[in-house]
Formats: sequence, C-alpha cells, structure tokens
Amino acid sequence: MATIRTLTADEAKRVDRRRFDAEKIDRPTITFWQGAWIRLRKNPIAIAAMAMLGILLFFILFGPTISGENYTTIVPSMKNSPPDSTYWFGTDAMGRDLFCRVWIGARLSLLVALVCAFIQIVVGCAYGGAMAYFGGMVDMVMMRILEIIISFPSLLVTLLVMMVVGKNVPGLLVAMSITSWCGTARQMRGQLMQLRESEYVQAAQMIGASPVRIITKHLLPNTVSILILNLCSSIPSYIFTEASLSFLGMGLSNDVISLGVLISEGKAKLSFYPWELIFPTVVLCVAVLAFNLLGDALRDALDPRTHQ
Amino acid sequence: MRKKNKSIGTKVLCMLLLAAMLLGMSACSGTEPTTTTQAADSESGEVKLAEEQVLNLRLDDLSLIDVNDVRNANEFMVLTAVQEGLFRTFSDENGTDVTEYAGCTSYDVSEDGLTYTFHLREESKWSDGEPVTAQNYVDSWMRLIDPELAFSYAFLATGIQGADAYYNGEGSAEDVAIEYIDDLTFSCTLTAPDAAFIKKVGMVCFYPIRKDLIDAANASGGNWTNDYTLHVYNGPFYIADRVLENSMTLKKNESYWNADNVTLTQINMRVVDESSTQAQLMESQQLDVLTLRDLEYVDQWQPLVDNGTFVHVSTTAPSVTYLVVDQHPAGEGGPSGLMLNEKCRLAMSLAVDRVEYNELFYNGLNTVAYSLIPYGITVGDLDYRELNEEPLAQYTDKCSDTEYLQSLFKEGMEEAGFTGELSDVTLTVFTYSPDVLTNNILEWYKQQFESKLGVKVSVEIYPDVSTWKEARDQYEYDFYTMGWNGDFNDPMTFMELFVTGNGYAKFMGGFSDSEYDALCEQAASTQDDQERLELFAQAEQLLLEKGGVIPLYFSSEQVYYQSYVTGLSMPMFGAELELSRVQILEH
Amino acid sequence: MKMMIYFARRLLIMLLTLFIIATATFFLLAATPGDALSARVEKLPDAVAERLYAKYGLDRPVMERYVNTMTGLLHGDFGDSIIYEGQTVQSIIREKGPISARLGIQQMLVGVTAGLLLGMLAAIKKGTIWDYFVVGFSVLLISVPNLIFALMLQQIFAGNLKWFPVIGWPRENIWFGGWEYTILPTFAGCFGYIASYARLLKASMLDVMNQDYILTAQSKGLSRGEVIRHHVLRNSFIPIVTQLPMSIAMCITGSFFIESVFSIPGLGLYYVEAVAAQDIPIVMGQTVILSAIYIAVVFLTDILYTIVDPRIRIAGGKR
Repeated sequence: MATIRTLTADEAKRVDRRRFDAEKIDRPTITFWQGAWIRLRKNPIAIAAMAMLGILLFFILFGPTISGENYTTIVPSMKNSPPDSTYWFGTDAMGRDLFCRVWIGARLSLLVALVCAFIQIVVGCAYGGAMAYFGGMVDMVMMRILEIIISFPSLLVTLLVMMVVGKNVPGLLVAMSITSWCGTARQMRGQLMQLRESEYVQAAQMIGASPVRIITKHLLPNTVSILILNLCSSIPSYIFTEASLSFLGMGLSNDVISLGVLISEGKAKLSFYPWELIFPTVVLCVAVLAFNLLGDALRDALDPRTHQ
Repeated sequence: MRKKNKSIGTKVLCMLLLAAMLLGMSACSGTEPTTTTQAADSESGEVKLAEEQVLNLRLDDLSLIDVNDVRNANEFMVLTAVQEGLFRTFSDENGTDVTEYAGCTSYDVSEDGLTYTFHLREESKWSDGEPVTAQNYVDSWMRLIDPELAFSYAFLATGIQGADAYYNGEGSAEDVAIEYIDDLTFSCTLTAPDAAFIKKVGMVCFYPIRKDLIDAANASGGNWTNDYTLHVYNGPFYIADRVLENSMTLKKNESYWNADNVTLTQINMRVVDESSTQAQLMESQQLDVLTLRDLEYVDQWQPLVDNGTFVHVSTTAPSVTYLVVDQHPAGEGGPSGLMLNEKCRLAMSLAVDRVEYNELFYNGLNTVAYSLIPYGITVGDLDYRELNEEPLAQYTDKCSDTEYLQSLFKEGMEEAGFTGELSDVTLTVFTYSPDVLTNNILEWYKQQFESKLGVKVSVEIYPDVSTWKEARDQYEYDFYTMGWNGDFNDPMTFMELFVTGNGYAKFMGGFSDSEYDALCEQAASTQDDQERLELFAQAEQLLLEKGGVIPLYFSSEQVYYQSYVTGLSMPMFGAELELSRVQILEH
Repeated sequence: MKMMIYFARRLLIMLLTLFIIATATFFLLAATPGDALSARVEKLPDAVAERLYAKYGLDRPVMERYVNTMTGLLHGDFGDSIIYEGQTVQSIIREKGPISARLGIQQMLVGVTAGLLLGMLAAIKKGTIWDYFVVGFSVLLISVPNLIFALMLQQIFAGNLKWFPVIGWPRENIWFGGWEYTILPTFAGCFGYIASYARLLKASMLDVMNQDYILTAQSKGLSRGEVIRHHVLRNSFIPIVTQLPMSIAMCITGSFFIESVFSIPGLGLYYVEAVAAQDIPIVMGQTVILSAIYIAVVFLTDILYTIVDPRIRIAGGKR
C-alpha cells in the first residue's frame, strides 16, 4: 500500500525568486510624458525659458504687493520721475508707480492671452473633432466653412470686431478669438484622421481594446502634444496682438491697464522718459520670448522623430 | 477751425472751433515772440539770402483741395498759399494781425451798411493766364451756399439776402443778392448790418473759383475736388506734386500778380506722424517750422533757442477750455440730479486745482483760467482781461479747503432735496474714443472730485461720436470737457454761448439765468465801450459764481522755426502759417 | 478632364469665398456704431446733413445699400472714397501698391536669405552651440515688436549716426531708386522672415536627414558635405518653396508700423486709417482685392506642391 509521505520542512528548499525575473527589463519603463520631461530637462533653453516664466509669474502675482506702492493715485509732484528706491521702474506721466502698473498690466495681458488660447483650443478641438468624427459630407461642408473663415484678412476682422463690440476686454477677447481657432481645428482633424487609420490603433482595436482605452492610451497623448504646442505658440501671439492693437489706437482704451496700453502710453515718451517705454516693453518681450523658447523646446521634446 | 490733430488739447469738440478764423480784429495781439534773433538782423539790411529758397514743413494731408469746402487747419494753410481771396492776413513783428488788400484793391459799403461793392485787382491772373474776374467770385459765393453741395462753412454767407432761404432749400438761386457788375466789380447785400462781414469774406471759403474747369472736370468724370492737376491757381504758389497721405510740393507761381515779392521757390510738405520723428527732423534741419505736439521738447530745445538755432514763439489762441455742467431743465440735473443746484456746481468749480491741471498735462504752458474770456480780447480799444480781474481768482485758497467745499456741496444737496451722504452721490463724466491724454484727464477729474468733495465719479466711455451724441442729447452726463475758439474779437463771442436759447446751448450745458440774459442783451445794444465792458464783467462774474461753467485754461501753441527762416506770419485769426513772404537766409 | 473639373470646382469655391468675405465685411461695417460722416455732420444743420447722407447713399436701408454695393463689386466699381473725395480703390492701389510691394519684397529677400542660411547652420550643427544660437536668436527676433525695432534702428542709424535719412521714400524710379531710404525699413521688417524661415528649413532638413535614402547615401561612402548638398538640401526645400507664395501675398499688403514710423506712403497705413474712418467703399474694395490675391495664392501653392513634390497628386486624395 502506498504510504503517504509528508514533506518535512527540511525537504522544502527556498529558491531564489530573482531567478524568475530574467525576462524583466531592468531599466524602469518610462511613459511618453516622462520621456518628454527628461528630454526637456536636458535642454538648457527649456530650463531658461521655464525659469523666466517662473520669475514673471512670481512678479505678476506678487509684484504689486511687494512694492507696496499705489498704482492708481495721481501724484502730480512725482510725474515722470526716473527709477529710484521707492519707484523701482520710475513713474508715469501722472506720477503713478510704474512697477505696479507693469505687473498689473502684464496680469491682464497674460490673462487675455490665456483665455484666448483656451477658447482657441476648445473651439478648435470641438470643431476639428466633429469633422474627424462625422467625416463624409459633414466633414466636407465644415471644411469649406473653415477655409472661408481662414481666407478673411485677420487684421480687418479684428479691427472691425473691436469697433462693433467696443474697445474693452470682452471686445478684445471676441476680436482675437474669432478666427484664431481655425488652425487648431484643421490640425486636430488631420491628426485624428491619421490616428484613426494608423496601424497601431487598428491593432489595438483588433485585440479588443475598449474605445476608452484607445482614446486615453492612443488618441489623447498624440493630440495633447499638438495642443500644448499650439498653446505655447499662440499665447505669445495673443500678447503681441493685444499690444499691436493698442499701438494702432484700436486696442483697449487706457482706462484699463495692459502691457499694450502701457507701451502705447510710453511710446511718445521715448526720447525723454525712456523707462516708461522700456520696462513694459522688456516685460512683454521676456514673456513672449519665454513662451516662444519653451514652445520650441517642447516641440523637440514631444517630437518622437527627434529621439536619437 | 477744426484741428485735424487731437493730440494736443483735451477733447475740445472740433466743430466748436469752427470759424475761429479771419474774423478777429487786427488790434488783437496774437503772438508773443520770446526771442528776437534773426528778425532784428533783417532790419539792418545785411541780409544775405540763401541760394536755395526752399521751405520744409510738416503736413496733415488734405481731405480735399476745394476752397468752398475747406474744413481743417491744414487746408486753410495750403489753400491760402496757392489761392487768393479778397484779402490776405499777415502778422507784424509784434505778432499783431494785419489784413491787406489782395484780390481786391478797395471796397465800398453803402450808408445803411447793407451793400458791399468790391473792386478787384486788375493784374490778378490764374496760372493758365486767364484774368481773375468778378464772375469767379460770384460763382464761388453761389457755390458756397449751394444746398446740393452742403459745405460746412456755408453759414458764414447766410447773412446775405436770400442766401439762407436758398441754402435751406426754400428759396431759389436768383433771389440771392450777389451781383456781378462788370469784370472787376461785384456787390452783395446783407439782410442786416454786420460789422464782422468784411472779416468773413477774406476767408478761404470765399476765394474765387473757376467754374468752367469744375464743370469740365465733372463732365469728363474727372475728380476736381482731389486731383490737383485739374486746378489752376491765383495765389503765390501752385501745387506741383502730391502723394496721398504722404507729401505735397508747392512751387512758386510766376503768374501771381505779386510774384516779384515772393522769394520762396519751393515748399516741401511731408506727413510725419510720430512726434519724436518730427523733432529729429527739426533738429537735423529737414523741417523748418514745427508746432510742438510733445511739450517735453520745450525744455530740451531751450538751449537751441538760446544759441540762436531755433526761434520759439508761443502763440495765444482766442480759445478757452472748460467743463460743461448739465443744467438743462429736461436733464433734471444729470444722472446725479444735482447739477441744477448752483452751490453744487460752484463747489465743483472751486475744487478743481487748475494750476495742477496745467502743470500735469500741459507742463504749465497754457494759461490757467479763472474766468471765461481769454487774454487779448478787447472791447473797442479796451483790453478786457487787463481791466477785469478773473472772477474765480479770489477763491484759489478754497481749492484745497475740503471742509469748506464739502459743506458747500452738502448745502447744495440739501437745497436740492437730497438727504443722503456725500458718498452716496455719483457724478458722471463722459467722452468718446479717448486718446491717452483725454483718458488721463478724466482720471484726474475723478481723483479731484472724489478726494475733495467726497463724492464718487463714474467715467463713461462711448465708442464713437454718434453714440456719444445720443447720450448727450439724453442728458446722460453731469459734466464733460468742452472748448470754444472765439469767432471775433469781442467778449460777446464767448458770452452769448450761455444766453438762454442760444443755438449752442445743447453743447454748453444750457445755463439759463434771466439776469445774465438781461446783462448780455444790454451789452449788445450799448455803444459805449466802457459801459459794455462793465456789463460784460458783471455777466461773467454772475455766470462763474453760479457755476454755469467751470473754466480750466486758455490755450497756447508752441511754434519753433529755424532761425534762418524770416518773414513767417502766424496770424491769430487766419491761416496757421502765412508763407508768401518767407525768406530763407544764408546758413 | 479630372484636372479641369478640379480647377472649375476650385474657382467656384474661390468666388463663393470672396462673396462671403465681402458680405461679412459689409455687415460688420454696417454694424459698427457711427459712420464715415458722423464726425463731419455734427456741425451741420439737419437738412444739410441729410443731403450729405443722400449724396453717399448712406441714408438708404442697409439691405438696399448691400445690394448696391454688391452690384458695384460685380462690375469692379467699388465706389468713391468718402473721406478722400474722388479717390477710388483702384487709384489708391495703383499709387500705393508698388510702394508697399517694393518694401515687402525687399524685406522678404533679405529675411528669407538670412533665415535660410541660419536654418542650414542650425540643422548641420545640430545640438552644438550654433544650433542654440540660431534658435535663441530667431526666437529673440520674433519676440521684440516690429515697432520697437523700427524706432531703435531709426534712432541709432538715422538719428545718431546720420547714415540714412530719418524718414521718406524714393519718389522717382519707384522700384530701384533711392536705396538709402529703403534700408532701415527693410531691416526693421525682415526679422519675422528670418525667424520663420530659419525654423522651417531647420525642421525640414532634420526631417530629411532621418530618411532612409540619406542613410543609403552615407553608406555609399559620400562625404557629409556631398550628402547635404545633393540629397538633404534639395529635398528639404519643398516646404520652403511652398511657403514662399504665401509670404509674397502677405508682403504686398504692407505693414502699418513700419510705414508709419518711416512715413512710407504704402497700403498698410492707408488701410488701417480707412477702417478707422469707416470709409466703406475703400475698405470693401481693398478687402476684396487683397482677399482675392490671398485666395489665388493659396490655390497656386496647392498647384506648386504637386509640381515640387511628386508624391502629391491634385485630384483624388488630396494631401
């Protein structure tokens, strides 16, 4: 008769579990975003741009508070005074502290640019997404409409809309966003259509990946990078447009403070009180520069073709 | 006169500056040269003229080159240079206006003062060789009041019999009393005597025209109003070249009757927008005359004036800028409901620190106004301002006395039946499409009234003139900035604006006071200068102490020219610059 | 045949686009508060003002004016300027077009040449200090407003050094005369081109360098210089060639800032002023003409694509 053997503790031997990990890749897996972040960190230009943006943001948020000066009170005795320990950027034609005004102005300019960029992305995505999703006849009609809107002389539309709606912040937002989303929409459509047809998305569908997984794993990452680039390149152009419109006398009227308004006020004073033009211009240039550089670096970092 | 450029001066409504032109009397001193450099040398006879007699000027491009349809200061200047009317106005070395016979050699006035007969200069010729005839003048005057053409200066001619009816479409052209007598004589008859009429007809809009050329151009589809090649000229210069919105070149007109006394051979005019560029051009002698827009240069250029490079002339315009307060009964005291109360208005008037205003916005270069009538205005031979102290000058100490101002305003509020606190009151000021300066000024008003009276001020900005006009006609304001350029050299030109029922009342706040009306009426019918002067003084005092208007400043213009330019006239009433006697000295 | 149908369809769409642009411009102008006459009539008696409105047809209902304007457009008659009496769009474009065009073309030539050289440098020396220099430099150029550059150049080279005239534009020999006037405005306006073309060429060259045929060429033993000259450059110019017509279309419309700083009698300055003054006939005319040029150039670009890049076919699967 067979006897049932009982294993003793001595007979059972501990094995090295690591033996089973032979197949495992030792290097930590990095996602697309981690990769992009690593590449971005290695790029000195990107670091410089981010540092600039950080400093700007700090001053925009806290600048007026640190200086402690009042930027609305008219001080006739202090008009056009050069930068000193009280007025770090000097004062304007009405004796108001320019340091505060520059940061308050930058606050509005940046906010306007961000809102416009946001509108551009949302509308562009929705429109582009709809084109790609419906396809066929709907796509064609929507595309024709898009082409017509793109053909409008943008300066004219902006000027006219400003005149119709008024020289105020809502007017500016409408005027700058009214045609800007077209490019985004076209890019979105192109990208989504390309992705839908791409082999790896088809492969994913074939092995039964759920639509949610396809969207989150494949469509989103590939479009988000486009959107981020879009954001980075459109923000400076909005800051620019706002300032240019003020130069033309067609932008915000100067009962609000924006960089454009400050620059157009300072322009006439260049020969006498250069700081009234220089400080707002420098802040504008630094902001635009930082966004442009970051955009450039991001383009490299997010572009899979540049990995080597 | 409408100024095309708004950057100096507050939003003084252009239309109200209309007709500031030639109507002044010559006794009025308009300019005060602050230096006497080359002007003195030229007397000594050692003048050496430069070989190139070319003058370089800045230009605001003309809307059109039609004498009857003249609109802006720039058109007055160019058209005065290339065409000629009955008279020509210069300024003498003291800056006093001197009017000389030009297109006519004499004129007669009938005894009843109604009929004017003009005798034209025989040698006057157009640049195509045709003589200037009386018919040219008659054509021009009839064209000026042509109802189909609707020229803005037509009102200057409506004193002529039949003209008003014709212009308003009620009468016919035949009934207008402008009469051709012979080639060198024409006459016209007025409905009522008008001492200023002879000053009016020297204006550009009364210059002769060549109807044959206009008709020919219209018939062939040509663009007479803007195409200089279709024009002929009877003035000292002619238009030789023009680039729209950019430049214009004038050359000496050899067929001008007085061409022997015209030294300049060419005038170059260029559009230059940026004030810093204008200054650079002036410093590098690429511009010879410049009216400053950026007053900062006054200090910077003082050394250049001192060393004789530039000549600086500060010209006084017969012009006052003030705050209009909404006193129309239909407006019910404006949005605040308080502007019908004279104590509230006076408190506002006294609260304004005019010296600070002038320093802050005009570097102290205008004259602070504590009264309505500008310096230089005369009653007969009596200098009005010299003999009457400015009525509000005695209150200057109240300007910073917030306690007094607030109690005065509070009293006014109680009289008007308001029970609330000062901080419950909101005054509304409005404007349309403001520039930087206008906006800063509005902010300054806000701070002045808020800090001194303890009330709130709301600044309303309208996108354009038509919506603003609508709001104004609905009385949606408590106060706003306005100005007036005098039409003729008499206090009446300013005083009549505030008489009940005046045509301009809707722009001027609608002050209405029977005592004031009576004083003005009396002054109008009085012949004695001294008596008139006193009546005006009483009326002015009453108007200002009731806060009927809040005067701010009397304007000046800062004109610079190169010291090698002589013979430049800057008449107070007339073309901004009269160029026919300019000479360029060797330099 | 396929080609013909394609052309006809494109032409139809172009006309439709122009029509919609004109319509939208008209109604936007009509919706703007005030009009070209409102400042002028403020001082006139009502009866006179009414006659003035009648003269320009501004007293008619919006729809009637719309129909009139569109009928005029069909005949190429845009109407007379309200502000500059007697001027028409044609006369203005004839006078100012060449000036803006010369300035634009000069800016473009200088800018594109410099941009291409820099782009090449950056691509060949990728990852080195040169690359960072080009990227940084070109970004810096587009981060400073045109107007600031213009004012700086004017102050330094005309104001202080007196090498060039402060303002002005050649009057005779519009296309080739008076170089000293054109140098500063040309430089002030060329930076945008430098930046965008440097970037475009760099990206395109890197793209080409990653292609397999370059690897093939290298493995054949060609030197780096030969590879770049014969294979990389040639192929990476495709996007440049297709971008050029667009730049040309943009450059003839003129630049407001540079024209205003240097007092150049070009279209840009005039256009903005006409819009601000609501000079409807001029704005309508200029908009339609400029849009037509733009649309035509887009069309041309599409055709150009097919010529320079054989991978793209016109009819059927378009891009």
